[in-house]
Parts: sequence; structure tokens; C-alpha cells
Amino acid sequence: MRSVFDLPVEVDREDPRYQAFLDRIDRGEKIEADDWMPMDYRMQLVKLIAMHGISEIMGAFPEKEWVPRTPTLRRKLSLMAKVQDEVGHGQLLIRVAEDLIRPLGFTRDDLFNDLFAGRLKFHNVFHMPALNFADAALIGWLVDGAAIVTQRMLAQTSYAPYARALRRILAEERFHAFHGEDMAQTLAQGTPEQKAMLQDALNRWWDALLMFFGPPEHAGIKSNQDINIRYRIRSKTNEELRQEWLDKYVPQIRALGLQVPDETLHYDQAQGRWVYRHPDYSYLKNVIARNQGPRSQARLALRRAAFFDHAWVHEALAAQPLAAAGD
Amino acid sequence: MSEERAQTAATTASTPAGGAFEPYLVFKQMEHRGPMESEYTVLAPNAEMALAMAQENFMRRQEAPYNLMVVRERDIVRLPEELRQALVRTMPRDYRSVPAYAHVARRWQELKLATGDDAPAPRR
Amino acid sequence: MTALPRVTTADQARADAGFHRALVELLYQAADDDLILAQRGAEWLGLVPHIEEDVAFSSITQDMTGHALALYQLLEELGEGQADHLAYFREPSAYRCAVLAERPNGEGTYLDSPRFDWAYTVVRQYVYQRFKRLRLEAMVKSRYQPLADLAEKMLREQFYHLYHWEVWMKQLTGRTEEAQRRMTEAWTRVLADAPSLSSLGPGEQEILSSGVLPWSLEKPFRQALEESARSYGLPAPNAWTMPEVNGRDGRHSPALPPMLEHMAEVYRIAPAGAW
Repeated sequence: MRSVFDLPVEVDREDPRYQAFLDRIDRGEKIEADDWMPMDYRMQLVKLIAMHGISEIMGAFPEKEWVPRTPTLRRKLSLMAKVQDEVGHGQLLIRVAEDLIRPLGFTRDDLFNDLFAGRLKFHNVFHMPALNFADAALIGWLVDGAAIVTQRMLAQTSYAPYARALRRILAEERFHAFHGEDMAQTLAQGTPEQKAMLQDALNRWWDALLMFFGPPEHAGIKSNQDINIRYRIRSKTNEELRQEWLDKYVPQIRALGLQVPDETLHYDQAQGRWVYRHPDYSYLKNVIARNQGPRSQARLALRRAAFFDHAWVHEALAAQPLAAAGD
Repeated sequence: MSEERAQTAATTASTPAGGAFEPYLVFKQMEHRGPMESEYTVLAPNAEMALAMAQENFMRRQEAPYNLMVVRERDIVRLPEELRQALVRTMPRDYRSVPAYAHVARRWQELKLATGDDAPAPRR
Repeated sequence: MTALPRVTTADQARADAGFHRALVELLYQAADDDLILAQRGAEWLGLVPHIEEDVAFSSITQDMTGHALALYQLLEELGEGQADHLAYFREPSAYRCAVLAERPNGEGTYLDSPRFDWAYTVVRQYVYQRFKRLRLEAMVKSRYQPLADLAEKMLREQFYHLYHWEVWMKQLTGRTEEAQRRMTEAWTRVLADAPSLSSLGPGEQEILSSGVLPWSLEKPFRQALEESARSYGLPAPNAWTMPEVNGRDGRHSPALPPMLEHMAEVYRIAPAGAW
């Protein structure tokens, strides 16, 4: 099956438009969808934004698994609204990605086929199981917290449509952050069993949370950060973002009386940074990127069901009325 | 039903055969990344002509917008009056609003968030 | 509709045993319908055929859950117990939802190999919302003022719900052969359960005579379905036979008990606790 990711990425650096484009970037101007842009910029955006969008859609599943079991009606309403927002954010982002690939002759369906074929990845955290209700709380609290740190940085991106989508997403996620913290506080201050559920979730999710930001720059795993930073698609390194996240959430974790499952974790005043045990980042490349995580295939199967089982719906919507029946 | 009504309205307002002039809505964008604001409308045979005439019809003084946009009026589908009730919200949706979670910040304060000897200085 | 005085507070309602009994019965029917069908809606999250529709459908599901909550709160005021407790912690035989609301979305579960049926979901939601409109219009004229006030608010919001599914009904009928076949099949299955919706259960006489509801819903509902069949080119509803179990008397299909069990899985860890 054809894929936008198979297209050759050729950039003619002698093209006068290329230098003009770099000048715009250096002046801090924002690029619009119908502006000229070099192919490597376009493809870098497609990769980043399509992955972001697909991750929001796939990211609905682990929390959604608990929506029908959410134990009060009010919490059920808010958790449902939150999961709905994730799908809605996926929608905003996928639309931005679609507009980037349409001039190349590709559509939303092609992106989903890339997902099913393993060419389009989704974030590591959404390959993990959500084993108890506290996992839903932890996702809302710490996974969303990590996403907000990353997104706040990306909102400065040079690509205007992505920046606009992110501004809206960040505004909506203010409620998500408080909602996640509310769930975490409530469980931590609840019965011993509730608190134990939350600690158990933290133990299981800790490595995945650190990995969310990607390997630190010196680890030598190939990353696309250089080009991202040259084109001002992003402005901070993986490690800078991870440190920001630790700044905010380690104090919260401690305030709730929970233990971070890393006895080496501490803040080094002299270096002005957190020192901690790094997870094995090769897991991202060897397991997650191959969709071999604990829930990778199961969640892909859910998405496939939504896509293929309802082909008849798309056919019917695209069809003209059979006759004048019903009018 | 509404859709059909809109269609009919557009067809009746449509143009003599051959001389396909139609109304186009003009939008101006005053600055890069600014909102597209609806200006007035022009009667034009196609989008290219509509664009070419729009600026001097509505912005012929000093103003210099960043960009212009035209949309053929009959391509716009509005919610008809009888369906606008669908926009009404009567039951509370506070569960998805930030103020409904004011107690969260209070609880962090009570929990003495900043305790611990290795808390970082706030950074930006 | 003469001269029976309005009942304006829960205390007044509780002072009249017959009225109270009829009111509680109707409130359970309406609350449980919304709760249970919204639970079926929540199972669809992330699995809907189109991303934009996933978002729109979820708002309807949230509204229905909100309506259920508001109705349980009326029951709470009437001395039935705490709202969440009513939603999560009754025996299956205490639920009064119509059997139509509890039918599964299709084969499999939302956790494992869902083979959900979008045609059935569209038709069921449409028929339910068509019915709900009629029930809310009647509730607005209820003798119980707090219910009439709430129904007024719910009715305005429910406008979108019915309109939304009307559009889907229109878009999936008369298009392709396959869609027509699936929609007709779904329509037939939903119609077989439709009488369960307008049934008021064993307490029907009391609900009507006490003025909790001003009129029976069956006739207007049947008329509405006949009109629907005509406008969407679907088979007319001919027989109006009550399904073997209809739910209104507490007897349910085998789908309900495991559904409730699943819904309350976490609640049972710390009933009445904070979550």
C-alpha cells in the first residue's frame, strides 16, 4: 500500500525560495499551510503532527477502558468529557496533518493505513495496559502532565496551523490537568486500598513516563531533533522537557505520600537539575516502535475494527441517494 | 430538509444561463494569523474575479490587509432557524470547566506541596 | 385534567403514598433508560466509524448521563437513597429501564474484539430519542412541579439529540443496498422492542390517574414510528406486541446483570466512598 512516508525527501538548497524560507524562520515568522515550504520541513511536520494526532486517538483507549466502570456519575461525566477531548484533539491534529499531505495526493485514510502497517507510530505510554481504575487517574495526572509540558513548547512552533491547534488543545487541557490531579488527590486521601491502587499504578508507569520525552540527547540514539530545532518546529530538548516535568510532578507525588520507584531520584542543587535512574530507552526502539508493547496489538485491533468494520458507513455517506425515496 | 431548502433558495437566486454571476462573501485578514473577518459581498462570475475586485471595493482607503478570502455564497450552509434550538445548552457542563476544580489547588496548598529539602527553585 | 393540585415539593409528594409510589416508578424508568443507554453509548467511545462523529456522539452520551443524574437526584429528594447508590448499587430486578436500552451494541465487548453494529445504534438512538421527546413533553405537564421544571430544561437540550440521529437516519437510508439492508434489519429489531419504551409498567394506571404523567405515551409513539417508517422508506410497524421481557416490571434480558456488574466493578471497592 502506498504511503506518504515512502516519498523521496529532496530539498534543492540552491532554490532561492529555500533561502527566503530560512530567512522567514530566522525572523520568527510563522508558516501557513499554503506557503511554500521545503519538502524536509513538510515531511518532518507530517511525521510529528500525524504521530501526535494518532497518539491522541490511540490514547483515548487506556482511559476509555475505565469510563464504563467509573464509580460515580459525576466522575463518569468528567472522565468521559476528558476522553472525548482526547479524540477531539486527535481530530484537530489529524486535520492539520491531512492538509499537509493533501498536496502530495494523500488523505486521512492513508494515515490510518500507515498506522495499521506500523509506519506511523503512536506514543509509548499508550502501548501500556491500564490495569485498574487508578491507572485512569494516573494517566490524567502524570501522562497528561507530560503531554502538556511538551505541547506548551510545541505551541511556539514555526508552523502556524499546528500552533493554533495546540493553543486550543492547551486551553482545553487546563481542565484535564486539574481533573487528573483531583482524581489522584482523591485516591491518595481515600481508603488504604485506593491509595495502594495509585501507588501500584505509579510503580508500573514510572519508566514509561520518563521514556515519554524520548532518550536524552547524549545517548546517541538517532533522533530528528536537529532538523526540528533548525526549522524551529521545536525549541527544547527531550531532557529539558523531562526536567520541567519532574519539577512540577515530583513535589506533587511526594505531597500525596507516594513513593517514586527510584531511590536514586533527587534534586541536585549545584547542577540545578534532577538526577535519576534512566530507563532503558532501547525499549522505545526495539519494542514500542515495532508495536510489540503489552497492549500495542490489542489497541491497534480496536482501531482496525472502527475503520474496517464500518466501511459500509463511509460508502453509504459518499453515495448519492438511490432514488427519491424518503423525500 | 433544511439543507434542501437552502439548496432551493440558492438555485432561485442563481444566475441567467451563460452569464453565471453569483454573490461571493469577502473575508479580510488584517494581520498574519489574525482572524478572517467577514466584509461585504461582491457579484462575480468566478472566485478569481471576486478576489481581483474585492480589495478595491471594500478596502480602497489606507488599510492594507495581510490577506483576502472569498467564498461562493451558495457554498455556505447555515443552520436554519428551526434547527437553531440545537445550539441551546440548559443542563450544567461544569464538570468540564476549570473553576469546578478550584478545590484542587487548595488541597495542594494544604498538602504543603513544596516540602522536601531537594525541591527545585521555580524555573521558567 | 381537572383540578388536581400541583405538587411542588418532595415533602408534599411523600405525604401522598399513591402519588409518591407512581412518581418514584416513573422516575426510575426515565433515569434508568438514560443511564443504561448512555452506558451503551460510553462503550462506543473511540470505536465510532468517523472521528468527528465519535466526538459528537460522546456529547449526547454525556447529556444522557447528566439527565440520569438529575433524575436520580429527584429520587434522592424523595427518600430513595443517594443518587450514585441508586445508579450503581441496586439489584438488577430493581432497575426499570426498557429492554431496548440494555441490548448489546453488537457482538464482542468494547474491551475485546468489538463487532459493534452502527446501524443498530443509529436506529436505537433515533427511536429512543423520538420516544424521549414525547415522554419529556408529557413530563412538562406533570403534576409534580420539580419534574415538570427539570423536563423543560432537558427537553430543550434533547432537541439536538433527536436532530442528530434524524440526520443519520436520513443519510444511511436510501443510499447503498448494503446500508439499506443493515438499516432495515436494525429497524425491525428495534421495532420489536419499541413497545417496551412506552410501557409504563405494572403501575401504569396509577402513574396516569395520579397525574404524574398527564397522558399515555403509547398512541403518540406508535404514530411517530409510522411517520418515521414513511419518511425513511422503512417497513411500517404493524404488530404492537410487548416483548417477552420488557424491563419495566424488573424482569430483564440476560444482558443487563453482567452490564450492571461491570458498571459497578470499581464502585464496589469503596461504596459511598470518594472517587
